[in-house]
Formats: sequence, C-alpha cells, structure tokens
Amino acid sequence: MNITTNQGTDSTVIVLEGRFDAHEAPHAASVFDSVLDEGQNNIDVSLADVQFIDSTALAQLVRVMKRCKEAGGQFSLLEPSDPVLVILELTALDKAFNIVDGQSAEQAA
Amino acid sequence: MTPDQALGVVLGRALDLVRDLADRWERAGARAVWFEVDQWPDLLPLTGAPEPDADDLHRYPLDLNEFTGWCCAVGEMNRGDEDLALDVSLACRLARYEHDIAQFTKSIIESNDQLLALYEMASSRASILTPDELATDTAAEAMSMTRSAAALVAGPGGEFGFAGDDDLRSLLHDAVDRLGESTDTLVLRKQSDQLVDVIARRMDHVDGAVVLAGKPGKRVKTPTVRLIEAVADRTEMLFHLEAMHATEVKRAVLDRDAAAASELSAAALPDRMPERDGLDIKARIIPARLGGGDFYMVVDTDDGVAFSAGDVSGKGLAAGVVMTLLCSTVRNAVRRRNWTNAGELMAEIDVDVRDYLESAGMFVTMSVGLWTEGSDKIELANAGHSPVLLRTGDTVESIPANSPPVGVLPADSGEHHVIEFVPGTVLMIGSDGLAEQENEAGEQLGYDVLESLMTGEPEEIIDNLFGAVHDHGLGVDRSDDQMALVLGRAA
Repeated sequence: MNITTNQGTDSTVIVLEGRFDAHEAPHAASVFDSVLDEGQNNIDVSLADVQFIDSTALAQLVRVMKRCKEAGGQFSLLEPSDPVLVILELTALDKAFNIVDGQSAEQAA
Repeated sequence: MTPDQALGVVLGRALDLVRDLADRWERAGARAVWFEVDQWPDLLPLTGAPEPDADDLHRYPLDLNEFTGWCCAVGEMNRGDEDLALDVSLACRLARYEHDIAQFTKSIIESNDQLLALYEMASSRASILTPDELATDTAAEAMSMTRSAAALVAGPGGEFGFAGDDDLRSLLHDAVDRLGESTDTLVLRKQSDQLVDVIARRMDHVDGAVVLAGKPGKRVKTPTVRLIEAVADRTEMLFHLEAMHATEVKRAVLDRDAAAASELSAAALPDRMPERDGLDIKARIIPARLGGGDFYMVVDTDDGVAFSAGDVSGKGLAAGVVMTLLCSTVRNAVRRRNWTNAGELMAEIDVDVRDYLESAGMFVTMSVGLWTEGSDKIELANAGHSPVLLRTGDTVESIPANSPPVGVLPADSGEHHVIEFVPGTVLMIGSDGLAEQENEAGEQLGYDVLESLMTGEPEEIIDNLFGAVHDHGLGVDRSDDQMALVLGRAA
C-alpha cells in the first residue's frame, strides 16, 4: 500500500492507495502516529484508491479518530471507494466516522 | 507478592465488579454496602457508611480464593435475600475467573518474552540499516579491515554496496565480471593511473562477490588475500542473518503466538450446545494460522437460549486474549440477567468491555440474540457484524447492523431487531473470513454466494458454507478465521 502525506492549511491529508489490511496496518499506524505526534489533530484520510479494507485496518482508523477527537481535532474519511463504503455500511461504522464523499467535497468547494 | 498485595489484586477486581452491584443495591433501597474480609482488619466501604450493628443488616458470604468474609448491606431493599446472595456469589465467581485468566495471560506473555527479545534484537538491526545500507556498511568495514583503497559488495543485480576511492569503482566491477563461476578468489593487477591489485571473492550462497582494491602502487600481501575470504564469509553470514530476521525469527514468534491463540480459542468456546425443543444449533470455526479473533457462544437461559457470535479486530495472541474476554463477558452478562431484551444485553456487554477495548485499540463486531422456547420470535442486536443471514421459506435476507462495533462508540440503550422465527426459519451468523476467502486469482468468494448456500438444515448449511469456502480457496492460505453459528427453528 502506498501512503502519501500532504499538509493542507487546515488539516493533514493522508492518501492511502492499495490494499489496507492486517499486513499494512502497522505501517499505516506509524504514519498516523508520526502525524499525531507532530501535533496535527485535524486529519483527513483519503480512501478513494483503497480497494480492500479489513477489520484490523478499520480498528486503526477508529483509533486515530479517537486520538484526534481527544485532542480536540477532527477526523474524516475522504471519498471511500465503493468496496470500502460497503464495508463501512455493513459494520455501521458509517455512523461513527465523518465521511466526505465526492459530492460533499464538490459542494464544500 | 505479599498476601496483602494478593488480597489487593483479587479484591481490587472484585471491588470493581461489586461496585456496580452496590450501585444497583443502593437503587434497590440499600443505605450502605461494604465488605468484611476475614484476613483484613478494616471494613471496606463500597457505598455509604458501614453500620455493622443495624437492625436491617444483610450479610452474604464472600469467597475469593484464599480470602473469605462477607458482603454486607443495610436498608430495606426491594429484592429478595436469595437474589442478593446470588449477586454476590456471581461477582465472586467472576472475580476468581478473571483472576485466573489474568494469571494465564501473564504466563503466556512471559513465555513469549525470550523470543520477542530475540525478535526485537533482529528488528533493531533491520530498523537501523536497510539492505542497501547494510551492503554499504559491509563494504566500508571490509575496506577498513584490509586497509584497501576501495571495496565493492556485488549481488546478482550488480553493485549492492561500495566504499572508498570512486576512481577505482569500474576496476572492481571488471573483476566481478571476470570472476566467473569456476574461481572462488581472483587476484588481478589492473592498470589505472598506477598499478592496482584487485582481489575478488565469490559468495556462492547469496550469488554475489566481495571485491577489494589495494592502494595504488602498492602490492597486496598474501595475508590480505586470506583476509578477503574471511570478509566474504562474514558478509555472507550477515546477509543470511538479515534473511533469517525476515523469515525464521519472525516465523518462530508468530508460530508461538498462533499456537497460544489457538489454545485460548479451544478453551473459551463452548464444547457442547444447549438442547432445546424446537431449536437446532450448529457451529463450526476454523482458525487461520494467525487468527484467533472469531468466537461464538450459546448460553442456556431459564426459558430459552442466548447466543452470540463475532470477530475481534486484529490477529494473533492479542485478538485471542480479547476473544476469551468476550466469551466470558457474554456468558456472565447473560447470567446476570440485568437486561430485558437483546439490545440491553448488548449494552451490558459493551459497558463491561469498552474500556478494555479502547485501551487495546481494538473493537469487536458481534451479534447477540435471545430466543424463548416455543416463541416464534427471535431478538437480535447486531453491532457492526456481517454476514448475518435469515432464511424464511425460499427468501434469504441480510440483517443489518443496529450500531457500530463494540468499543467504537458507547452502546445505544437497547436497539435491536425482533425477527419472525417460525418453524423452518434459519438464522446464520458467520464471519467475514467466509465471504473474503480469496482464490488463486485474488477474487473473494463474496457475500452473494453465501446467501445462495443457505439451503437445508443447519448442519447441511454449515457443510455447504465451509465446502464452498474450501473449494474456492484451494491453494491459497486462509488469511482470516472462518466461523459460522447456525440456528434453525424445527417444526
């Protein structure tokens, strides 16, 4: 999985590409933690190019969401791909995460 | 640990458990609740101020392994003596059980310490040096040891690491090309600006070579020729160790981890199903090599059964330990009967495990259900779990989640489904490991296929599911546990 970190004006955007599963979760966790440790508490994670996500990876996203909120920040998932959106809906995690789809992003712009 | 410390540990956990109980007793009319422990000189108040001489005193025996005494309360409570005694007895049993689990977990963790230390040692080298850096570091070391002017470590793809005088680099590459397969060590005299001795030594096992260039104008002495053999052997060994780090050491730790997780699963899952007229229950679980997070539980209630199945996020021993905690929590929450429906039962489980899951950075997708013998309804609370499939006649539908997984958000108070469960109906709670089993082309079996396999009696459905998953995944490792709990309403 490719991970790119972009510093925006209001938030840090972490772009994930590929398969996000138990094997990739430790790498992603270290990237998330390094951003949080730098004091960036507003994090957006782009999942547009993630084609598979498992429960270990979802647990990482939940952990980062909680850390952001505890620090008074915001955490969003940007444009999750269809397979990821299905998993978020099946697990009802769409009720827990702030999800910004393509349409919302365009409206916000 | 001194006896006082041991008492503190056991009582500390029991106090946590009984504090909830004390709150409930307070709401039921108790003015105060406290412990009197035979091995402890002071009263231990839980709520209110102890009144050992009060007329309306209730005392129930306390049994926490080597510590005994009384759980006391004063006040006119709107619950019977037998009920209150059962509360204390269950809290004590839970405290003893959790104490045993804690000891067991500690012993597993300790037994892993040595391997983990070894793994950490190997990891630390890998974390300091990438393979390229390792090769460059080795070349620099070889140059220093032999007092050469330049050193090259070559692999099958060409240069792997280089150190020293860059003007000599091409001479060293020429030597690698001329080394061929028949010669182990080659000594050349090359004309650069001045005469330079070049010595190359092949490394058979890593398909590469170490090459040294002497200082221009100076002859390389025989001891240096011998030294390069030692350098090559050492370099080869370093690369072997590096490979070992990535495979053998890690595998040894993971095998131990997986074995412990598997033992935990076997100990925690029910070894037999309750028998109830009109209900056919079947379950099967096949753990992945590094799995351990799936579970199911069926508990007899006074008038029917409570059941649960789920999947702990994560893999290995950590998921296995949380899975055992979930199994005991479900069992105890069912038996405490502080619920009136499946949603409240789920909320009770959530309260018991949420702090633990949050601190571990994990969550659990799970469903909890209740069926009363003879009833045509089943209650089901679904916390982010799938697949949960219901077959009624020829129709199969998926039961959606009521809430996110346990450990993500505080549970809502009692959201659940009430499902028609007439004779012939079948409910299946599976794990994502069934639908997400991949074939050699990387294609998942899919949730739709699971729906098409919901035919026949529960045993047949389980055979269908696991047969299809097995066939689909031929030649591919199971990456996740595979579990199914099937309940069929018999005529």
